[in-house]
Amino acid sequence: MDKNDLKTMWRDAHVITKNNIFDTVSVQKSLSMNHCKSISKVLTDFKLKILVWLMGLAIYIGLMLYALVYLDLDLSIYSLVPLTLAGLFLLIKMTSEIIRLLILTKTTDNMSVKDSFLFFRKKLNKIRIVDFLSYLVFLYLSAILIIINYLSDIGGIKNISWSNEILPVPLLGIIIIMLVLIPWFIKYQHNQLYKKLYSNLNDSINLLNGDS
Amino acid sequence: MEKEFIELINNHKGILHKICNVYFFQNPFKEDYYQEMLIRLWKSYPSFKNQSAFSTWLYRVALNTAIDIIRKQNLQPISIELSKNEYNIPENEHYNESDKKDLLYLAINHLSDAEKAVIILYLEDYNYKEIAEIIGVSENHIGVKINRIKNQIIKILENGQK
Repeated sequence: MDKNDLKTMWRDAHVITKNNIFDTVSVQKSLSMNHCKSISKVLTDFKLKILVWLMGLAIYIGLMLYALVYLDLDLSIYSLVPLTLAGLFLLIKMTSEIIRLLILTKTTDNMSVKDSFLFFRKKLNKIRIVDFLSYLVFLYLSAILIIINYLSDIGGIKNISWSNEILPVPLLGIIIIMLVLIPWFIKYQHNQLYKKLYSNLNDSINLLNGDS
Repeated sequence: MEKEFIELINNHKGILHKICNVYFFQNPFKEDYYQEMLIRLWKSYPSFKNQSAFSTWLYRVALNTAIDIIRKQNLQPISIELSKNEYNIPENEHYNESDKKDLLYLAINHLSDAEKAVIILYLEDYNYKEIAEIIGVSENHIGVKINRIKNQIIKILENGQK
């Protein structure tokens, strides 16, 4: 097949036909809309996710205020640190979802196609880093706290029994290893989840940068 | 402004149909995405300052919208119930090996999003300068890329694979 045949093939393929599926869409009606049905659904799903995290955070703040202000509980530093970590985790997760929503709503329509690709890759990498770091900080700090608690025997942790046995060190080790590995698993999961997206994005950017 | 925009769209709707057909080949939400394209064009219309031809501006916004919708799909897969119309894809939308149009779309469908953008503009008879302007790369660079993409399409059309 000759390369020039492609244009002929393209022209032949676009001979105006009577039944055009796009003719059912009204231009005038579309102008008064914010988004089409399916995109609106995607954005609503994100807003609901943010709302769930926001509610979790509000409940957390409410409980903390109730305990610390109303009941005037005098919590030790060993109790405050994990509670603060939990609050921080809720805050980071909510922020992460907000960043996702902002990326979805931010349009790059007037940019060149290449700039739009670069912009989106930058934003996608930001999501990956925020996700990874939020889990890394939260889980590594939790692991460190468990180790400190165990070594200092705070709250009699060394005597906590499981099936009438003293909590064995190997079990504690497994829990810590799990906490240490989870952020890397999250990173792997992110890469797998967006594999197609990254692959297409990288192929496109390489093509436009002239690397391929 | 609305009347003027509708008139311009009606005169250039073929471009939008082609972009939708290429990027959303055999996608049940094709009409829905076409509508999203119209919405985004309307929102961007105030930024069109007649510095380039309307069709050049239209291509840029429409291509970016199509690529953006695909990203959204991948970032948050769309899981809504298909309407009766969407579920029953019209007969002429079914892949038919004997149909040149389907074969060409099927071959283009194997390309990356950027390659699709470049080849649509080439097939629509845009010159290298205009393609380079819409895509955002140098004019010298575009010729090499077009050649490579054409070879890929021909290979797919002849062998059925990339």
